[in-house]
Order: sequence, then C-alpha cells, then structure tokens
Amino acid sequence: MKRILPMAIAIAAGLIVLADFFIYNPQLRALQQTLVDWALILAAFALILGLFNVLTVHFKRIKDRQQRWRYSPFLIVALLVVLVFGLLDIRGPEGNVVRGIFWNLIFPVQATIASLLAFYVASAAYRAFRARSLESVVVLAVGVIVLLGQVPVGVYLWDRLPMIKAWILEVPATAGARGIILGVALGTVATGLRVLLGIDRPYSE
Amino acid sequence: MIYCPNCGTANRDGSKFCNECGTGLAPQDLSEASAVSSAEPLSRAVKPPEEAKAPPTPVEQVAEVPSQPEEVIEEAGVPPAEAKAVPTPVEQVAEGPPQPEEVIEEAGVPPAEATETILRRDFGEPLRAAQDTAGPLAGIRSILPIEPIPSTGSGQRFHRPRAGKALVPSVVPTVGVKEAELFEEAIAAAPLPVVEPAEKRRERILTKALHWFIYILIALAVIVPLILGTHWFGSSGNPASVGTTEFYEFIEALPSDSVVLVAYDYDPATAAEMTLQAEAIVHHLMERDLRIVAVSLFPAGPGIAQEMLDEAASEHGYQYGEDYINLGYLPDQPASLRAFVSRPASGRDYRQGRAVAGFSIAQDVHHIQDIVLIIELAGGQDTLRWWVEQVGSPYSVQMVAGVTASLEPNARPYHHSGQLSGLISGLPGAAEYERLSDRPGGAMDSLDSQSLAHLAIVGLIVLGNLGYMITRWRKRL
Repeated sequence: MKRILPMAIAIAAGLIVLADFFIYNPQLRALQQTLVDWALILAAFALILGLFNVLTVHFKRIKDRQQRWRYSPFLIVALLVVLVFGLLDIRGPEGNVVRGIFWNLIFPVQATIASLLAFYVASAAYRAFRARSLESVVVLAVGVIVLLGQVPVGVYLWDRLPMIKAWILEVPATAGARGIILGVALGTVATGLRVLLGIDRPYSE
Repeated sequence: MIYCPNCGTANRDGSKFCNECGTGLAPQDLSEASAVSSAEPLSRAVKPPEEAKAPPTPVEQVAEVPSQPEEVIEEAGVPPAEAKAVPTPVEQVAEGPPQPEEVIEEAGVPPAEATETILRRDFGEPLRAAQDTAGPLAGIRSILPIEPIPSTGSGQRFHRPRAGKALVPSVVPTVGVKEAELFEEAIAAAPLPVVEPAEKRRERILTKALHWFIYILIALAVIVPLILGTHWFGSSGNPASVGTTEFYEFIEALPSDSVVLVAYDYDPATAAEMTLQAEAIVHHLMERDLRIVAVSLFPAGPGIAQEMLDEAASEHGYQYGEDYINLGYLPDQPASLRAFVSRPASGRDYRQGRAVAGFSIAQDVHHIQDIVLIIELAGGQDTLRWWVEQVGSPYSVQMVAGVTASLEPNARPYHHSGQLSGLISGLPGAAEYERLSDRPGGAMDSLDSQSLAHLAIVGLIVLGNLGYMITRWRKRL
C-alpha cells in the first residue's frame, strides 16, 4: 500500500494534466488547474526548504571551521538582509534596500563574471583552434567564418561572408539543433511514459 | 561485516574500501583467517578449510544482523540469567556500529579477548596469541610480549586514537631502523634549491606573457571603441536579417492598444546582449501604442523589466497599471506557465504588490488568448522551449523571440517551423532592430567593440596556428 498509493496518485495526476492537452473539458481543465496550483505551492515550499538548507549548511560550515568557511558569514548576512528588508518593506523587492542590493551588487557582479568569458574564450581559441587534422580544419574554417560573418566587419573583409555565415547557421547548425530538440522531445516522452506506467517512481525515492 | 581499521565503520562483507573514510580494507578471507581468536587453540586455526573458519568475535557477532540474539549471547559466553539484559544485535546495529568497549562490556567477554578485540578493531589484525607471565598484565593473552611489526608499506594505516579513548601500547620496531634513520636524515636536511631548467623557465614566462597579451588585446578591442564612440563598421553594416525584419514588421502590423506580453527571461549574465534588444523592442512597442504585460521566468528578470519599462514609460507617457504592468517572477517554470495561461491576470503585481485584477490593463486580459503577441527574450536555453511548448503552440498565440547569439542555433528550428514569427539574435540583431526602428542606441554603439573583439580572436587563432606549424616544421627538421 505504501508503494501503490503514491504511484496511483502520481499516475492519476499525470494522466489528468496530460489529457487536458488533448481533450477540452471544463471539469477536466478545472481539475488540471487545481493540480498545477498544488504543484506550484509545493514548489514554493521547496524554495523555503532550500533556504533553510542553505542556512544550515553554512552555519555548520562556520561552526566546524570547514574549508572556505570565511565566505559563509557574508552569504548568511546577505541572505538575511535581503530577506528581512524584502519582507519588512511593503514594496517587497522594489524596496530601496533590496533594489539597491540588486542594482549595485548582484547585477554588476554577475555581469562581470559573465564578461570574463570573453578573455577565456579568446585564450581558449588561441590554444584550441589548431589545424591538426582535416576535421579540425573544417571546424576552424567554420569558426572563423561565423566569427567574422556575425559582425559588420565581415562585410568589409569579404562581402559574401555574411551570406556564408547565414547558410551555416540556417542549414547545418539548425539541422543539428533540430536533432537535439527532437532527441529531448523523445526523451521527455519516454520519461513521461515510464512515470505514467509506474516503471520510474521518482516521487518515492 | 568488515570493520574499518581507521574509523571503525562497519562495512559490507567483501568491501575493498571503507564507506566512511576510504581506507583500504583487507580482503575478507584474509581477515576471516586472521580473525581466529587468540583464545582458541592454534590447532583450530589450521583445521581443514570447511572447519577453519574462525568463530566470530563478539564484534562480528553483534554486527551480523541475521544472527539470532540467543546465538550471540550463547557464543559470547553470557550466562542465561544475564541474557535478557544484553541488547539484541538488531537493536545494536540500529544504533550504529558499537564501540568495542561497549560490545565487550555488554557481551561479557573475558578480558583477554576484550583486549584483543580492541586491538583488532584499532589495528585491523589480531595480534599473535601470547600470554604475559609477569607484571600488571600477567595472565592476559594477546598483549605482551608482542612482536614488533615493521611497516610493510602495505597501505595499512595507524590512526590517532579518538578523543577519550585509551592509548594502545605502542611497540618500537627493531626492523627497518636503518631505513627510518635514513628517512629522518633526509627530511631533516635542508632542501636543495630547485633549479628550473632554462628552457622550462623561458616557456613559462612566454606562456604567461602570451596570456597577458591576449587579455590586453581583448580589453583594448572592447574598451577603445566604446570610449571613442566610434561607428567604423556599425553605420553601414550588414542588411537586417530576415528574422529581425519579420519581428519588426509583425509589431508594425499590430493594431494599437493591443496587449503584448514581454517575457524577460534573462539575468545580469546575459544582460549586455539582451537589455539592448529589450530596450529597442520596448521603445518600438510604446511608439506603436501597444500595452505591455511583463513577466519573467528568471528571479532577476522582474527587476530588470521594471527599471527598463519605467524608464521607457516616462519617455512615452505610459501609465503603470493602465498601459503596462509587471507581473513579476513565475516560479517553477513550466508548471507556472500552465497556470499562467488560464489566469494571466491573477496574483499580485511586482511593483506595488497589489492584486493584478485591480489594474485597468487586467480588465482586457482574462486568458492568454487575449494577448496578441508573446515576445520571449531568452537568455537561457529552456525558457524559449517552455513558452513555445506550453503556451504558444497549444493556445495558438503568436510568438516572436529575441535570443543571445549563442542560443540562435537552438531558436532557429522554431523560426523555421513558423512557431516563431520573428527572431532577433545577439547584439547585431539588436543593432539591426535599432536601425529598422530608426532609433540608434546602445547596440549600434557597441558594434565596433564586438567587431574588433571578433577580429582579435580570429587574429589569435591565426597566430596560434602559425606557431603550431612552425613548431611542427622545426620538429621535422
């Protein structure tokens, strides 16, 4: 019973939400909406649990003086400041403190870290793009064409570059991406079927 | 069960390493063979194989779950009267691996066996059967005299005794003393200065210099055009791509006052590209007098949306709640999209935290199909797919998308299939849109930086290949 009941609930919920995709029925839709709402409420609780988990992990790290524990107080203080000011201010995330933290701390730091990629990409391109074999020559040529064709300077170097770049992106790259999307879709269908048939029971693990 | 000689954790039979600390465990057959109790006559240890299996020690008895309590008590030599006081093995196992002292005390094991059990637990192998004849340990087997055990390099580790645990008598080995002295000398001697070969040093300096050269080159390529405000390549660049043109024309064709949904599905990491696209699009929407509903599947998205919409609204005379609204973050992404499509105007807005239904813009949005166009600004790989799968295609709502350049190949199949009526890609796409809407902005100003950075990277690739070819040519010579 301990195994059958969760499995029956999961399969029934999955079938109801799935059926709503294919069949229009007001009662079915209402039921589907209720189930989705429950899922959202559960996700919200998971977020709260995640918050407590982060706090627990970092308090323990400080207590045990684990590796790099010195960063943990910063995390805890930042978390609590955002949480407290976000809850106390009636404007929520648009309150002065939270807004200030977002625009003066989170945004610049995240943008800076992402910007560093430019340097690493340049360094990696220098080291990795080597014409070692026929395949690597093809990769090298495609990389150079797309790099130059993507930006206006490509036209100045060779007026056909943007056209060739467009073809590369339209035909081979799109074909590859389409294959990946189809693969993901098939994988999703297979996983869904396994859950619906009770073969996979991620909810009971 | 095999007990770890290092931490004492009970591991499954046949385990090669401890689950807790990773210390190598002796093969079970060896441990079993060596587990012959010193209290037993030696003849028992050399019995034929089927009989040679040693009687399990109290520790093993307790750790073996299937054993019946009666058996354990019987084998441990506990009088029947005291049997009830001894916890069952199942109870003991449930409490975790018992400490040897506890086991011995509870099982009523004679002192000699008890000592041996502790030693086996700590050192992972039984000591040889012996009986001390004098001194405070007289009559106790397995303690003294003891043969010195030289380090065999077999990987066996001797650990520090746990806090509160009695120190086990140590034994000074007589074998390997010379080696130990030599080792001591070696570690006591002053370390020799490490002389790096000149060739290696040159290579290291060259690699470091090259890295710095690459970083400085890229930094200059990006910064200089921005500071100088150049438009060397941007003004007369590529013609607008098909996707961007379709995007622009779709918005141009919308009847004014229609409600358009803009999904700000990006965060600060991709904001350099996406903000410029979003700004160009939002200004175009406001010029066309279209009403805007903003949402985000990214936690950082609503903040970015609010800032941008407020700024554009002040320029175009838009009123919050009437001409535009920010619905905030939709958590648990695909599921929240399913909920959103049926009740887009439920919940509270991001800016004021008020019920969305109370705003005038919400009066015209009861279902997702009341929205004429969804504009997905995707900085992540999945959000575009979710919008297409969960909203656009099932509910036949028109969609266009702006994506980062790296996401363009993933978005193109949706554009080809008609699920997206327009597609803007990266900074060049944003610049194209600015040019089409005749509103030059940050994207056009940044194109020279991007062009020079791309040129620099191509130059580095060429340089790297030249170096590679020269090296190969030299090697051949």
